[in-house]
Amino acid sequence: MKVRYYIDPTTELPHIYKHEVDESEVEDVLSKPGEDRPGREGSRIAIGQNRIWALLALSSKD
Amino acid sequence: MVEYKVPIAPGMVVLDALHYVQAHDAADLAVRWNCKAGKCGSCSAEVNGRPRLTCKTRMDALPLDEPITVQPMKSFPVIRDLVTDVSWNYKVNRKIPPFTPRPNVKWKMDQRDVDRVQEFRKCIECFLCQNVCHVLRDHDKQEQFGGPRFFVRIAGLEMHPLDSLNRTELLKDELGIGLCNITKCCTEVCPEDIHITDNAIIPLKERVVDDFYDPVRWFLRKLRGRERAK
Repeated sequence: MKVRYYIDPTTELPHIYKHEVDESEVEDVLSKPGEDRPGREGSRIAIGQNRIWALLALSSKD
Repeated sequence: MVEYKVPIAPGMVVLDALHYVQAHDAADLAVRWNCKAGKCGSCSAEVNGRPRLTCKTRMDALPLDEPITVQPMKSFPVIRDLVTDVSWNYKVNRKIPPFTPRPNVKWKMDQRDVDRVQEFRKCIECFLCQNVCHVLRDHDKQEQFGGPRFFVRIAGLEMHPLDSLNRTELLKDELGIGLCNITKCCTEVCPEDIHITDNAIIPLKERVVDDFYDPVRWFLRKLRGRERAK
């Protein structure tokens, strides 16, 4: 599967980063979408749940 | 305190999150675990300050809007990261005389007696009860106190219908059962739901009181001498 990301001209990074989404999450949804339908100009519109992140704080003692 | 960002997947437990950290961020993170099924008692730690098995603590049961803290068990010396040295428990264990059947015993028991001791045999030795016990955790009485885990073991032996020994003197003198003030913290954290306080500690305390502080028994003991292993 070939995925093309819109690159934000101000940051020169994929626009998805602004939504706290990374490439692996996009690929997860595209490979197992909850809803998948054709978009404009041969594109796909895939809808699915992106990952929820937790912050794990580890310490050895107080 | 080191923070790691971990993706949540359905059904994920805290131990999975620790494995994620090992795989992606800190390959040298020390975590003790074995079965990942709540049966080996290896992965005990303090999650958000509460002693738990990390393999039985689901991430979706924890608030994700703030960092989830994972710390080693406080009552034991840390070897490294989340791994603690629990060897003190094995020293206590060696003080307890094992099951000793009466000579020429008939191996037949009432089902009610079997059921009663069966509860104590569910213990997986995770030592969460030892970790949370105030006598050990806050007062460091390791020299004078055995801890709930070993009161459970002794209860299983003392209530065994075919056992011949009496361990009340050990309970009173070496394992300091009198120091337990039955706050039931041990019962609360037990992953096997053993009623440690109600079914093990309180009946053992009663036996100690009967054996050592009952005036009638005291008088009879004076007459007949100390009753030991019956």
